[in-house]
Amino acid sequence: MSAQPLSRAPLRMRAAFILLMAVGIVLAARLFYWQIIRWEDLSRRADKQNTFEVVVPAPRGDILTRDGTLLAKDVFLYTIRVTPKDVTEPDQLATDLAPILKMPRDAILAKLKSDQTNVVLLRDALPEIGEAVLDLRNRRKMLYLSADAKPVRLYPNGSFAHAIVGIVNAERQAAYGIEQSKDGELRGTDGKVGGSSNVLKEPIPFDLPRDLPATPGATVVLTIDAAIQRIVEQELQNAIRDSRAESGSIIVMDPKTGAILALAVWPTADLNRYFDPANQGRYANQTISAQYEPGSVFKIVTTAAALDAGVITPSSCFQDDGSIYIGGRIIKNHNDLAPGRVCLTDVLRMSLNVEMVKIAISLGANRFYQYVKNFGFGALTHIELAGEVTGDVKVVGDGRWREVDLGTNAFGQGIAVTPLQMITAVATVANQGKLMKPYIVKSVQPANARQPIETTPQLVRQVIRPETAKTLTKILSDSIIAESTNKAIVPGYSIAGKTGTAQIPIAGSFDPKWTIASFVGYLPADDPRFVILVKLDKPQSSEWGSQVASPVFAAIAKQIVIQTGLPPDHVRLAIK
Amino acid sequence: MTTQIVRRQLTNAVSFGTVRTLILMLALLALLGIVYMAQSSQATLTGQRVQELREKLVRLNREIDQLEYEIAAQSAPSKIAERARVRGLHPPTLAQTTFIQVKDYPVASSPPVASSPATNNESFMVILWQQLLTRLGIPLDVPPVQASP
Repeated sequence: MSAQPLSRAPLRMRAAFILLMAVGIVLAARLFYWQIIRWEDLSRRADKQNTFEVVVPAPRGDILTRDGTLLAKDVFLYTIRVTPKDVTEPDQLATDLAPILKMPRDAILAKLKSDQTNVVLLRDALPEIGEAVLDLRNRRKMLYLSADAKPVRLYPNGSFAHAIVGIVNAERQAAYGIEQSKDGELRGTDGKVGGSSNVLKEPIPFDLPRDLPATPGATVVLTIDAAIQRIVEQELQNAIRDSRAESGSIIVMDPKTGAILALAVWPTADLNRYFDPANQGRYANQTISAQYEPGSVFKIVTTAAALDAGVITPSSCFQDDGSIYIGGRIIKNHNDLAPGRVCLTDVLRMSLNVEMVKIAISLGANRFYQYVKNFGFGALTHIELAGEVTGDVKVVGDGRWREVDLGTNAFGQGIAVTPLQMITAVATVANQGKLMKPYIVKSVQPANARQPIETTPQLVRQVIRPETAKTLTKILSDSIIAESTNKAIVPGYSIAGKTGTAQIPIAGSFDPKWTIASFVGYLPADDPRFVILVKLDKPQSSEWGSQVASPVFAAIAKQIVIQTGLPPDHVRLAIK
Repeated sequence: MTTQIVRRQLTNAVSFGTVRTLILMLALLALLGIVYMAQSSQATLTGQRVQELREKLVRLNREIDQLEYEIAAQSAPSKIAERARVRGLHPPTLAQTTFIQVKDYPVASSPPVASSPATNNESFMVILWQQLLTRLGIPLDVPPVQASP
């Protein structure tokens, strides 16, 4: 039988051939559509059905003090859940879970018999409980039981260094302090675990696992010394109790580097209880985010500027009649003092406002405000803490400045600074006129790096000449020695410092009742190791810084020298 | 007639050698398949083991974190101070402390200080100016102006 050409085939055969061809073309077109055009989408949908992918949350980095005290840590806590309608033997399950969850069997049983779709048996369970539940689930194939781990930020020291550390809330959002300012470094990179699975998303060991491990966040080490911080917090608490002040803050700084050794703020708040309404507003760091009129401690700045500019000398003397007229206002000394002829040491010892006004006038507004700016006032210090403010310094020509401001600013009124700016300025005098950038992060250790990234102390500028700083230190030291009853005195150690009793501005005037009492000083005066600022708001036992803040300075200094092994002057100088 | 010719041609074409080669190739393919399957299942088992070990590592790390937290909570400065106080210990006062002189006692030095570019520039200008003044024999310290009382 020989093959017949299609053209000669019977009509039915031709029709069948054409039909088959048409069907074939349609099938090919559909195949092209599904395999080529829709390939990507379908492939993705198929993958979704037979693969699983779980995000592994990265633990946030630790925060430590320089001596290794742990301040903040991520701990994984578990939420134990059950789907009651799928539980076949609730009595048996309740019996098994009771010792693991450390809960009464009846309480568990009641939840297992609940009508709800999904019931939480236990929240924030420790890892050992979570793992035991997972063991039970896997052994008995109980798909209706789950234990989901999530990282939770915990603060083992509670309220210790609360104004420095900051918080991370349940939504893993950082706020305040180091937590906020170093969020980028502390936050790690989440990982992923994936592979083949069945429809119920149970892994099928079919191939090598596809996973990307989580990278933990970097560890941040602070310059804070836990022992000094403890001393400072304890003394601040005592001072608040004794003076019945509304609030207060203390900073201890190393003047040579600008490192913050301790920083305490009252009232405190437990970092683990940020959700407590009583703690609202207590996490903001008052030493950087609240400004105040510093009062007489600012006389250190005015005197430094005048000495450096050569307007006055250590032996300058003045005739003080108790008042001075400037910019249409009469300025008087506190308690209406009119001491007559006084020299520079007496001016600082007696904290005479009138002489400060005279010195500022001699200096001239432009030079005075240039020094104020050079000391760092009116600008951010850029410390690694969230929420810093610049303070408020009016300057000539800004539209707000009046002539009287030169007079009031000279003794620390009408100018708003932060406690950190104030201690940094005084540390400049202690550090031979060199302004150091204050810092609180000693190093950052990324999870995958071998070496930590150390912070190098940063010299900002030379504000006053070293000789001026030395001269002013001697004047400040002499003014304290001159008063044998001065409560800031630390036996065996030379100190330099100044008290401040600042009025609190209210609308158009000053509060007639309350003051801000402060003391800022450093020791040993000839080779300063520590600068300490004490600030108490609205003290009730006495309004004067010399009465309430100076003793706190002495109490802290006496403990710090023992803690750090700083010998008294006669021993130290003998060794030299 | 045609069928006989085709059979003869086939007999000539399919020799014993060809059949042996085919069988060998099939056997080789089967062997390769077996090796591949063995390797694949071994890889899967290893993968599963790796996965289990990684999960174990994650669990252990979480337990370590928990223990570190508990240790830190127990050794908090306030707790240590409280326990010391209960045992009758208290911090020494300055009067109770004796400092002794130790010659050449090693003292921790401060970290090096980085200068800002502006400061370097200022220092350079100051040094230059001082050198110029010294060469001209002009004293560096200018006496300050006395303030009027």
